[in-house]
Amino acid sequence: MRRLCLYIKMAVQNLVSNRRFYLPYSLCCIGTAAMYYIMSDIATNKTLTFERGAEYVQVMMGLGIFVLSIFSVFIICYANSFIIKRRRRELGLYNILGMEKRHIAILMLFETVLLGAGCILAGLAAGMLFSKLTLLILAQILRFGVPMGFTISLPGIVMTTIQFGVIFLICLAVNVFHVLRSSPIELLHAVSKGEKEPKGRILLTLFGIATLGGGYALALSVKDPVSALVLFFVAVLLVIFGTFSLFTAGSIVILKLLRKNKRLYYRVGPFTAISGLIYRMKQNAVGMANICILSTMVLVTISTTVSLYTGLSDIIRVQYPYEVEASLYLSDYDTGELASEEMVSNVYSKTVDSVQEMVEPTSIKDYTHLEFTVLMKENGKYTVQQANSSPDGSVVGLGLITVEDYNKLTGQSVTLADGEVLSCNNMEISLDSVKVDQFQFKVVENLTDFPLSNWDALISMNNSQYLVVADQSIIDAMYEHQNEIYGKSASRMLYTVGIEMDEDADTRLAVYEKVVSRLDELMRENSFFGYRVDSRQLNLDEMYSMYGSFLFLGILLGLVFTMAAVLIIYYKQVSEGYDDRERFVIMQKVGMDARTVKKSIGTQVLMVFFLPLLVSGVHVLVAFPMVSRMMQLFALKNTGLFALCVIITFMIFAVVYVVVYLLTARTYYKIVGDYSRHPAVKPIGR
Amino acid sequence: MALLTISHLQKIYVTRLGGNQVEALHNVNFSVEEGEYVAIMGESGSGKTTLLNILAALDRPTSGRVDLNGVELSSLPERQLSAFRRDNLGFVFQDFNLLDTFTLQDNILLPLVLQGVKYREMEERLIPIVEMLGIADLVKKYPYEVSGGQKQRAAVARALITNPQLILADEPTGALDSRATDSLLRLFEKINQSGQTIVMVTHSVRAASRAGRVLFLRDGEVYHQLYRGQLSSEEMFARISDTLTLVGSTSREDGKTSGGKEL
Repeated sequence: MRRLCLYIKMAVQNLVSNRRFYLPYSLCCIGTAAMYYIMSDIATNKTLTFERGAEYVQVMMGLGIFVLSIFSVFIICYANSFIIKRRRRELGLYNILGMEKRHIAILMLFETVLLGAGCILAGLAAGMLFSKLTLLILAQILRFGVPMGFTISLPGIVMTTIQFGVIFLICLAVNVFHVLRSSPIELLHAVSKGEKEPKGRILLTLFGIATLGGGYALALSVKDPVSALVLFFVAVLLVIFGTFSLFTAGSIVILKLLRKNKRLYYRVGPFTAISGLIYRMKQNAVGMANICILSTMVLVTISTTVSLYTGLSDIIRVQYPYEVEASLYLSDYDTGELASEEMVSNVYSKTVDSVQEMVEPTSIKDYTHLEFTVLMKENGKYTVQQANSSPDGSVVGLGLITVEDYNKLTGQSVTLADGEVLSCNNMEISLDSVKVDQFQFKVVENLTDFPLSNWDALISMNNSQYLVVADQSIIDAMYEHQNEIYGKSASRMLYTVGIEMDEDADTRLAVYEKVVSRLDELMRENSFFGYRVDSRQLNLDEMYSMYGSFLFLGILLGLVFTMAAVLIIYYKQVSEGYDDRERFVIMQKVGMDARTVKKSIGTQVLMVFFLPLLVSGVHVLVAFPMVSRMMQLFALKNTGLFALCVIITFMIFAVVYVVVYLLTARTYYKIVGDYSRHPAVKPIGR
Repeated sequence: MALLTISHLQKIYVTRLGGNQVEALHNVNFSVEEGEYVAIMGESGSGKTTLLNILAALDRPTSGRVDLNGVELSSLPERQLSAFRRDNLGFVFQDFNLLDTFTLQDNILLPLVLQGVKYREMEERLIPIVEMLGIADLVKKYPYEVSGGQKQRAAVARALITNPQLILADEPTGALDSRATDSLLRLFEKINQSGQTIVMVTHSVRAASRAGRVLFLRDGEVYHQLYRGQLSSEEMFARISDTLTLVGSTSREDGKTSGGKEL
């Protein structure tokens, strides 16, 4: 019993006296645990499932929990290994003073249990405290109401406790293994050990240049959204490899080249700067690369989700050109029987009547179009082909509309001769002629703007190609052609009535409901042709919950990543401080005045800390074209908006970074300052 | 005229919390001629380190003066002190004080870089010194890759490279094994024979016995001094041991009566 008390007392004392390391460590653990609790609370919250779009949020939170559970292992283990390295001397001393390794292991068990339990409890408390607030913010973003009252999530508590309990156990195992494996002398001298020059830096540098260059080239060269999505992760991996190897090896190779230039090197400024940086980069390269990758992740995540969310009203207009759209398939799915003229006009009149009974529409348009998928062999050459597992060409959604309907939709008066077409695609290809198997057309004009969106292409994330043709007979002929090849899975022609109105959201939804019920009646009386009614408002609500959950997840993960970056920066500053304080003293003894020393070391510290931010800025800049292509998949075409989001996010992040640097720099100067002055006594006189 | 003259040197410290005053140096007087090799001995707390810090212009005396080659140290403004140190003094420390960010070569060249010497001249000065000290093959290595004795040789090379008027050594053998100690002391003799003035603070009787003159410091005063004259190292060793025994058995008050003969 007394022994137990002793262990607890020692463990508490150790944690308190190492608070310079353990305080930020536990803050990070608490923050991550709180975040974890909040996410699992939202993911499992029963009251939330009744809300519109809640399923998106819960799926997103599930994704977030997955990311967080992997990430928290890494970041906490990183911080733990940093602390245990700094504490080796102390543990070695215990060993020499007569504690057996077994005892040290028990002591560490007590430390871990105390620290772990404290962090998990505090994390849960913070999580409960902030979960309501988070839920309110979430509701604001997703535009729905939250149930009032304070709830405690049992699954949240269980999941968080298990996750972080396991992490702390892993850390304990690592630490015990560390102590058991090394001799007391090794423990004592571990901190002051110098580093051997690793071989193969040049090779690693070349690898870094190749991977970073490859990643950048991919990011800059990708043209279509789908390959952007596929290649994005390849590019990210390449850039991560490149960043790590260039930070660790490339920086040293460059600095050593500079050192080889004797004339340049043997002068006061460069002399201390270059050798100091070589030393620092050897110690810090991995941490810096980590900070750089984390910063890039934060920047990309936040800026994309913010711009998707804010660009939603643009996105919705691309996907839904009209407030209410009623569409009728012009042939029966089973029999292939064509819809009669009478039925088409019935759909038109029922739709327009039911709208007009309630509101005054601002515009009414109707048109017929056909969409089917083709393979693009080369620019402007398409072929209709049964899809197989390895298509020899890229899949493109082809849309057709007559010039008559096109004029109706745009209010223009274009005339086309036989065999002439207008072309519009999202691949940024300007065409002279278009060929679809035996059908050949001459392109009169390449359009950049089109009144319709290609639905199939949007949904299946393919590129799209629209053609405005001279006559309905051409569309009919192409319909027959693809019908022969695709058979049962052939596309059907679609007749659409689109109505625009200026009303509030509830009215618009009510109008939509009415059109749906009216057309339902009509179709039940007649033979069964497929039809569909779309409401922009309904989809807007849906998308708000979808993109809102994206945004929400982006912000939460961004916060966690930022927290991790801050923790790494802090530990870097502390270890730099301990390394630098001896250097300060020696340089002054050798004849450098204190101000020069301080300036030189200050510049190096600044470079080490701001290089990651700078590099992540470059990463984001290069990633910009690729990410903005990917955003087209989500129908966000407003590149200016995205650019603005990126810039604002970067600026906010940079400010946070600078503030964190300034705060941690104070710790650094405290450590250095303590020892660069006379330790205990102060001289009288001057 | 003497190269270094110290007169009526006093140094008083106050503890940081105020109140207690500690007199580290009471009244120190001595001088060092050019080309001399002087060892200063004394127990812990006798004021050795304080004296050396003041000689090195790292610290200022409470009263009294230090003249190096006609320049009064305390008259120099703070800004010029580091330059003065680097141009006129060479340091050898107990714990070497090499920077682990630099190779040995760069550690040795550091004072020259600070002086703004051209690289060609640096090389010309470096080669004879590292050859004399026997570390020519090691100059590309980092401090943590070589032994203690080799580190101390590099530190000596750094002290010598500016051709200083005076070399100050603070327990230079303190962290070395006996073989490395012997070879370092031989090196000091060799450097001294080539005309270099050396002032060394030490605990070690063996180290002091190689010097030309030994000053004994106690309670902040020079209590006694021994000249080597024609004595061998062994005889000098015995004389120093005797003196230390005597010093250890008396206090300051009665020291004046029982003190040995002044030479």
